[in-house]
Amino acid sequence: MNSVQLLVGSILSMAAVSVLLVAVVATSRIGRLVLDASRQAAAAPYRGLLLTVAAGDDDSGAAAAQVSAVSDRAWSPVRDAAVALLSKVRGEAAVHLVRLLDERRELDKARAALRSRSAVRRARNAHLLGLAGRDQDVDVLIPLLADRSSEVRMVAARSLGLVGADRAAGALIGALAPVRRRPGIPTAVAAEALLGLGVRALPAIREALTTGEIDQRVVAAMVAADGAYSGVLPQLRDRLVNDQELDVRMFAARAVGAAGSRDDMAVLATHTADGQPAELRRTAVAALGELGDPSAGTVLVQLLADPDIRLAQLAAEALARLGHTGLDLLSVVALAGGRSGRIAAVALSMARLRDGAELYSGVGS
Amino acid sequence: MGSAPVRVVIADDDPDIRDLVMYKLTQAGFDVVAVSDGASALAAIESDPPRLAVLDVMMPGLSGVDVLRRLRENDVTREVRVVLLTARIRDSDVDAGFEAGADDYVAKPFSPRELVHRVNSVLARSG
Repeated sequence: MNSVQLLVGSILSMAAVSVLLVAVVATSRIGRLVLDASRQAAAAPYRGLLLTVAAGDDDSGAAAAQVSAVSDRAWSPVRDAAVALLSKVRGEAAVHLVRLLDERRELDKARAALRSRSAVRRARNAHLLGLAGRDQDVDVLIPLLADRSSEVRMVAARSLGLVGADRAAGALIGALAPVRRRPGIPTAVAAEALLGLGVRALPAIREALTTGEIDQRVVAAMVAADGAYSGVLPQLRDRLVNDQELDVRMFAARAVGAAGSRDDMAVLATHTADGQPAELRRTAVAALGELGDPSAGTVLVQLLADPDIRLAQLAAEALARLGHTGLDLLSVVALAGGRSGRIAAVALSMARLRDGAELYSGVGS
Repeated sequence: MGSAPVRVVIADDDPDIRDLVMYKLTQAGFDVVAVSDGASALAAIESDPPRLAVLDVMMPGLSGVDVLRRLRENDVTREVRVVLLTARIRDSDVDAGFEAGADDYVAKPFSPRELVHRVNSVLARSG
């Protein structure tokens, strides 16, 4: 065989393999589509009844009883449709759907499946228990925060956030730490779940701010900022001033701005000073705007001339959030011109666009 | 003879949500037209303006807020009341919806019963 024949043979072989791969992928996709269509067709006769349940209109339980009575063979696609609807509704509608799933013992099956060897099954069933929102399932979900699969750990955290029981808060914060060389749950996942718990998470957040490791303090401050939790203000003020970790200080500044009172103006103003880390200064400036205390105006006006132009812009935006005091100050600086004046003028224009012209009639025009 | 049912257009690319909102509003006595994207919503509303539209914010192509802005720019559709239905519930997203001219905002996951109350409330306010 000469080299030309070898080359042609190689090309033909590669072409044959490519065609085979395309055929396998196409067959698999078609198979999945056919299966999906078949499952949808099997669930279709029960769609109206399921919608009655999912709409919260099944006070008598008659529709749920009819759906619940379907054969085992037909139940699987109906179950999937019910779970899909459950993820999209809340209130009475969710209660009715959970009752339907419970009648078919799906929640019992889900609890049992948490011990499955398949990570996909464990995750899927943890998700269902989270959607069902039953307090009793917190105790079976918490151990999954240390699951060998990172996906399962994340689903368990989200599910605990959906259930919203206060005793999950400490476990969620604890799950940020690595276990048996496995990384902890991501900070964003823990924060989202803790926010789902609302103020019930406050004792655990307070403890994390006081004695937690870095990630735990970051998440605690992050949640306090997003939730505007005034119940942990003493701990947040302390972290803002004393924490060694910049991220914790920044989230603490944000949280103090979101939840604090006029008493917090001074501590935030201190952190806008030259010599503080640039990111912390910017965060503290934005927090002063969030706090909304007009007495911050003097500090913020001075920052309009700061060499850090982003800081100056944030100071202008913060001034625009201080009501007429801030707007008057911006107007004076805008009239004076220069770089500070241009920044002030932009902030005034943005404020007019955002809040409407009426509030600002006669201001800075 | 009772009055004709109030016409409502709903737009959501999620068939579960679309079916559920359509079911619930139909049960509540509305005449409902359901579509699955922003462009179809705009076409349905412009061809025969309803009293109210329930728009998902995150749709392929034109988002619910894009549709809303176009409705407010058009003399024919300016008065159509709009309820946004969306999973995006950050303050800035809510602000963007109201700034574009939304009459109300319902967060997903949602209560179908509450949605009907919100729709009725918006219609009552608009007279």
